[in-house]
Amino acid sequence: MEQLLRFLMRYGGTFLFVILEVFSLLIVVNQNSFQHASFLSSSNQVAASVLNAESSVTSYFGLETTNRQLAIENTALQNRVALLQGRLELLKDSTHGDLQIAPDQAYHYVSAKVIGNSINKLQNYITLNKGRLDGVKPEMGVVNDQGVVGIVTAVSDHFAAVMSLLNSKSQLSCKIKRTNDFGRLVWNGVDSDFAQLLEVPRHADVRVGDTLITSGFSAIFPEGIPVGIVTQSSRPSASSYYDITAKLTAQFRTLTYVKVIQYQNQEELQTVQKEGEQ
Amino acid sequence: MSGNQLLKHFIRFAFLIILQVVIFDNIRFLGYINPLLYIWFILGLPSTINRSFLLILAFITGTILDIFSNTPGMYAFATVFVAYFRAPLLKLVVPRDDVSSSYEPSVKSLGFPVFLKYAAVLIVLLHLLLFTLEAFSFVHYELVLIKTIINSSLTLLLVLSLQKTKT
Repeated sequence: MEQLLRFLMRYGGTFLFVILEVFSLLIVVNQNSFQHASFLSSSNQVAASVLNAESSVTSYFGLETTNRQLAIENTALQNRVALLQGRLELLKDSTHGDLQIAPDQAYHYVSAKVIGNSINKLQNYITLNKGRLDGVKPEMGVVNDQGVVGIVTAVSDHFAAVMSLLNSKSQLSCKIKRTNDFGRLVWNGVDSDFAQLLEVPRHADVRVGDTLITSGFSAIFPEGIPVGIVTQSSRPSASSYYDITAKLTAQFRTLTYVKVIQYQNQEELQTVQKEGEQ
Repeated sequence: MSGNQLLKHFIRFAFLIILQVVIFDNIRFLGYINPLLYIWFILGLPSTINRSFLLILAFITGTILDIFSNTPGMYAFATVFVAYFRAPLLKLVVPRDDVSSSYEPSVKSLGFPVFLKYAAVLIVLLHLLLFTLEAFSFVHYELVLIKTIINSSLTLLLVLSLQKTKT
């Protein structure tokens, strides 16, 4: 006993050091299993409240830009409503009024404010002021009117942590709008404006200026949401795939308001996909 | 530590953590500017502080920052590492006759060259560890080195300039 005490007195610091370091490292190595743990993420109530207080001050600085973006989005939506209304009238006329349109809204959007957002790390996250009580759950997609932003990883009652596209662990299934060729979008950590599209086969026809949209495979994003514009594409001779760089359409530096996508049939689709794999 | 000292270090702790999460972890300029000024809290603690207590303080500091930036375990690992090597490094760089008495490492107490050596080593170590853990592979080693060089210099500069105005 005395020896043990003497040992701890002499080497206690080192002993504690080793314990703390092993513990931290275990958390780092198993970070995927901690990803959904809300108390360890920025959706933690206390942490998010601090971020929220900060953003309630700083958000005033961006009001003008935000306003302009909202006005543009508003106009686009109004135009769309007008167009669809016109079509509806036309359909009604041609079917003599007994047209039935089934309520089929598979996707529902929840608007949220960005209260925390980093782009200076390899693994960037965004914190939103909407959480479980607003219907936000992990694995939901996040977009703004410019394009895809990220995927929710952890939620608390009032806040959510979102893995940004600017995260070396993020993977997004995309396709080229013009040719329907599929690929996987990842971020190499270098430039916060550009991401890389992998696994597009050599025989595909990819041109600079092509638009990338979501593929709709994942049950997280509906098909057709803009992701990026191809700025560079080459076919390295050693590889059977293209080397594609795309400029992201969402501007991560100035994110203020985003929408969380609730896909009503997400669980059903995931179950079917899982069953299909077995 | 006297009550006054305790209060000073506590205020510094709170101030640096808020500064880190509100400003330095959220710089959206260029995409790789991320100085880790919070380490000044660990650097400035009294030289005679109990070693285990220092390690626990470092772990708490790191964990708070991990929560804010969604990097479970990374800040904690790097901060505890730096805290552990603080005492041996002080023994190495501070002239012998100063060792016995208690002091708080700063430009004022150690002199500029000694403090610079002490702070630079630990700051570079911290950045290198954190950015390597974040990359979690050696694919990004160029980026890790660039980020370490740029942000270590920035942190060191910030620590030194804050020393001039506040002791």
